[in-house]
Amino acid sequence: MSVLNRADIKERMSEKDYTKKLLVTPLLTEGQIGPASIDIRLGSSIIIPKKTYVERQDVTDLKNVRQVEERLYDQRRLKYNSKFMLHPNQLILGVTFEYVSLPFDIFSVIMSRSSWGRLGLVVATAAAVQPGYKGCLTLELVNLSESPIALYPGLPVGQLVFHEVTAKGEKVLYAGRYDCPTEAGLPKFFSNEADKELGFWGSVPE
Amino acid sequence: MDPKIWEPRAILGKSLALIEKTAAGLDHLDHWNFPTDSSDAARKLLLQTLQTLETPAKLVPMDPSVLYNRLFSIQALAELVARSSTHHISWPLVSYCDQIWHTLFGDTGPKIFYSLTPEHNYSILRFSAMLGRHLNGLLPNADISALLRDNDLYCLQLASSEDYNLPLYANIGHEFGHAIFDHKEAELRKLLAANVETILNSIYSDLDAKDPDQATRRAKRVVWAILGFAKELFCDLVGAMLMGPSFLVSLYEISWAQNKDTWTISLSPYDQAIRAYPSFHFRLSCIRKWSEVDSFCADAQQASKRLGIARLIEIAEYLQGIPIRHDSDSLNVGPDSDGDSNIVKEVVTKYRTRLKQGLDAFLSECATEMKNWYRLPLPCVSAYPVAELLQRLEHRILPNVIPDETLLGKPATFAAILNACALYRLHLLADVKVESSAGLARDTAIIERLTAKAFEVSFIQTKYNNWSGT
Repeated sequence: MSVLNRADIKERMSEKDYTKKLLVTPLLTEGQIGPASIDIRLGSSIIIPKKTYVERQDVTDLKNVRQVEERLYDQRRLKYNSKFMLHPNQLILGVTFEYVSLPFDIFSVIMSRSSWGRLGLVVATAAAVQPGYKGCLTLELVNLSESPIALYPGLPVGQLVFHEVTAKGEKVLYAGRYDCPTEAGLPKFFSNEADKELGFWGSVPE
Repeated sequence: MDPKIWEPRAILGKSLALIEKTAAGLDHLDHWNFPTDSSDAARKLLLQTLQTLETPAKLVPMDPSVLYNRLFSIQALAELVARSSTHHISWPLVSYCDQIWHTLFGDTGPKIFYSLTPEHNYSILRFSAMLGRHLNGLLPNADISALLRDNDLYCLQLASSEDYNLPLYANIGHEFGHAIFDHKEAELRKLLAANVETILNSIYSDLDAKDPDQATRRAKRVVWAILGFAKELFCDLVGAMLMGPSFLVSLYEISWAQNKDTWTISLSPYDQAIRAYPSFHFRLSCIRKWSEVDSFCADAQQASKRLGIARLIEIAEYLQGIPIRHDSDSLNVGPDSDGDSNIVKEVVTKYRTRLKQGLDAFLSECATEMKNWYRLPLPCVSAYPVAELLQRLEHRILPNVIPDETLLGKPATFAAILNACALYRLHLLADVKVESSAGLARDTAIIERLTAKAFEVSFIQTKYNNWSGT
């Protein structure tokens, strides 16, 4: 599995056929395409977990999961000239400004950009983007530093690295629980068949 | 104690408490959440009004009951400002609308802010004029004028029940038409009079023959009704010019489950309160003409060949298939309790065909004047960019950019995004098969959120390009 360099990225982005095209849109400047990555920006939609009357977060308990969804989160849409102060050890969910569409033979990883990482900002903890994925990417933004970090929509905080998947003739595309999202999304437990097993792990018979 | 003495004091006390409560509510609103700056202008205007009302010198001559009563109306205006929040209103969408508004009214004209209504439809309110009416009789005219000077404010109420139903946003163009009508009323009335004068003369003759004593009064009511028809059609013309074929789709969708071939006149004891609406079929036929649907569809055929998208022709056929025949239209005049309703119905029905011709000619002249008055990019949208965006929607890709020879592409315009989304959505709904409709809600929701995001990023990309000089 090789990493696409700038020339590869440009070539895959120039593809006319949308089923084969690598798409990250909009790019505001070609300078966003690095030697082996594309810089991505923070979008306007954020979700702020708040201190509230949620007993716990236990993903094996469907009732608890729904209670958490209802009570824990505050969803906001920031204007582009307004800042959000991310406090030390605070986690918020953000979204990329860009919409991404990966063809069947490209896998991607989201990473922090180095300067932001040195400030203490982590942009994604669940970093894998599967082949065939379409949508904006939810960012898990955490401030690991000792002082608040001011975030503005539009800031290029992260980067995407692309890997070519050795397909061997088989097209396996993303068919997950996140369907062309464009805003920061809540975790979606118990939204597909595979999650049925979560309940089992919370009550394994002795 | 005699209530005649203490009751006015009690009402005044309650009113003062209400002023304080309303002002505190306005003072505590989170400015950061206003979708555009003009919401704050509305907030400040109301705060200033409340301050003026509680000035002791102004309070003394007021009738406490009138003050108490009017404060409820002012509270309703305060609620409009409170509902102007980015929680429910997509600020990129209204920022685009602000650009259109600015094209129409410039820097020195009226301002507009955006709020929500629980209704299914959209409406526009001349906020400052409404406030002025509530203050009438409470404050001296000079004080009202001082408050409202430099504060000509409109409020566009977006339908909250259609929170994510973005294609219906094309109706905003129609609502802007009402504001244009307010500002060009004298000129538009002249145009209307020139085009319906002979019809009105014929109607007057008929009314005179029936009852000469009542003819002038009844003719006046007919004039107000015709003005109502003309106003609504003028707003449709503006909607068509600003939003293109998406406005046809939008009004068509509003007409679903409603009687489409009835013109209505609702009489009122107050002539100015007479309401009149042309039939949906007649309105749709006018909109089809003024949004240049036929040339759009012809271009779509070309674009579809060039881009190899057969689906585009199919989608254009839906547009051309929207029913617009209005030859079997009828007129409904109410309420039945109004003694004039039958006579008004009879005379207007008799001259219905001529009236339609007169209104059509009026719209033609309005279209010419609109081009003289405003620098509108016409037509607001062409088929080629819409075709490109439709192709992207077909692949569940954001309809935000028109591809060019660069990797960045050109940011799509508001009208192109709106039209592509409206057409694609109509096709999705019209193409549904009952036996395999599962997922339709998901598919339409995807289109709606792609549209919302496309508005946002194309707006920012345009701003960025302007800033960077690219």
